[in-house]
Amino acid sequence: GTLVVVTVNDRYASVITVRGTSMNPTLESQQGDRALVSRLCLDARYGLSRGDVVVFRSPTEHRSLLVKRLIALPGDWIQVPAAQEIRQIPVGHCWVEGDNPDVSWDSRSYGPIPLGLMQGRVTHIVWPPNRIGPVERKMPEGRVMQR
Amino acid sequence: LLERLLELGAVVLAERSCLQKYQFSHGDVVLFKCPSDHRELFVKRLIALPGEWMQLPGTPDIIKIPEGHCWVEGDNAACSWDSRSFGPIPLGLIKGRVAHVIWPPSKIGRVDTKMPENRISPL
Repeated sequence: GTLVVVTVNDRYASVITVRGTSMNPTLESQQGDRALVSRLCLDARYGLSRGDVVVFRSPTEHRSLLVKRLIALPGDWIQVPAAQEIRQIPVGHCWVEGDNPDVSWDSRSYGPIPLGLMQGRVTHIVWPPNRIGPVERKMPEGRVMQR
Repeated sequence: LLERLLELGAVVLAERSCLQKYQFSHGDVVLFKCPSDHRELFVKRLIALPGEWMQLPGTPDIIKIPEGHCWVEGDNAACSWDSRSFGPIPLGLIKGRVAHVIWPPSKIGRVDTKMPENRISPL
């Protein structure tokens, strides 16, 4: 998966360095992308949205942070790629996938993950200069039936 | 970090150094986000760690704890909603270890590590 290293940490925001290729082309470790992570989404007033790029604790290695795209929220029905299967996301859980599916290890492997693992939302690329800009919300089409 | 916890009806001191060092021990009392409601915090005892086999209470079954997960139970088994209901939880949900009760006065003291006997077999 795409690992992240927290380089600056604050209560509301962090800057992370991206390693790994599972979020190519949105986040590219080969170019040394550094991204701004907002934690406001963890407060009840804001919340996460489908299509957000999120940072969360790995469900299988609690010392690691991962960055993926949030695909489905509790109660949604999702079509699992390459599985001919539709699943409903359990209460308190969500479905995450990398933008580069061929190399991403994500909910397609480990299933829905608790929202309690979420650490923040990636809002911008802040380095290198030619990569500076917002990270857009994006959804794969036709795969999620919202609750 | 001070947390008022209905579960204990007491104010406890929760230390977070176990997260910094990422060291958990059997029998620790831990604070963690509820797996089905991330806005809620639970306090339970840590019973088993990744890779271990443990016996499910009240049944002949044994299960293996998956990588990155742990098993938590309340000390008052009869009225605790814990891993016996929702299964193993990711270690990433743990927010700290409860070290001391600091209020009310009658409960002040260290929270001890304690393990139920004969329920875990390490790899």
